[in-house]
Amino acid sequence: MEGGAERLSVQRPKAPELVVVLLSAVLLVGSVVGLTRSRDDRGGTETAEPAAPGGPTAVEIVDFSFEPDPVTVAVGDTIEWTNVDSAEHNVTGSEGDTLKSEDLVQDDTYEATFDEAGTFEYACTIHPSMQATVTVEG
Amino acid sequence: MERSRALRLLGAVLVLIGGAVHLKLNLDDYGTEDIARTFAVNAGVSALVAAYLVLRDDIIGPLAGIAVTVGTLIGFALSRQGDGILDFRETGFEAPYSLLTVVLEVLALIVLAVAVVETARTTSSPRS
Repeated sequence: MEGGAERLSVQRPKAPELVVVLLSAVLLVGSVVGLTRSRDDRGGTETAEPAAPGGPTAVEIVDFSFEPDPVTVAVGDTIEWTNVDSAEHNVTGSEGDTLKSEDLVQDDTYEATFDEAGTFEYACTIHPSMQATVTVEG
Repeated sequence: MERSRALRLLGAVLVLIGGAVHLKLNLDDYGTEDIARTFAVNAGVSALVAAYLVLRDDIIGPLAGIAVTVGTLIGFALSRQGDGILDFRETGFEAPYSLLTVVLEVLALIVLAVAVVETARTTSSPRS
């Protein structure tokens, strides 16, 4: 064929293009790994240490949620939140100052003691979709 | 270096870095499970688009790159509005790499838009 033959638009890769193609291949493999691994394969989903007798009740902040939720304790009990996620979170009550933590980085903890019965709703103000409840029984 | 080629190469690098940031977020377990999956998909699509951009001298590559960057920016915006996206909501630029992501995507969008114009201009010109 001559004259009317279309010019192929595939380029002969040069060094910079080859680098991009190589990095693209690495990224593609990484994305497949990221897509196929389950939550169970990920770090930071370990089960919380059971609370020691008489010690605080453990709540984990993991995978952008508070676990367990809801949690029930007795008046005078203490709850200890541990941020397992790599993202920062906080524990902020919807009313009053009973629950108001600083922003917690990974492995930071926050404790609060409940001196009165009731239902306390709280959330992470950085991620408002993270909401949970503490029920304190008298 | 030919201008069109330079634009596609730069666009590819920006798309590639954007995808790498999303893969990093996925591997860091950032976000809910659905969001993490979306980040991995973003990384994979970015890789394919980046490779296409440097291997094919046509308008599809830049247009695909624009689609990826616009999609990413829309996802970013939705995650900061109302109930968020995929049961995930963020605020401002506190999340890791959020500012970097927006800067990368906007830069990529500009570069790829110019690449589209350049490619269209080049292909419509009579060849010697």
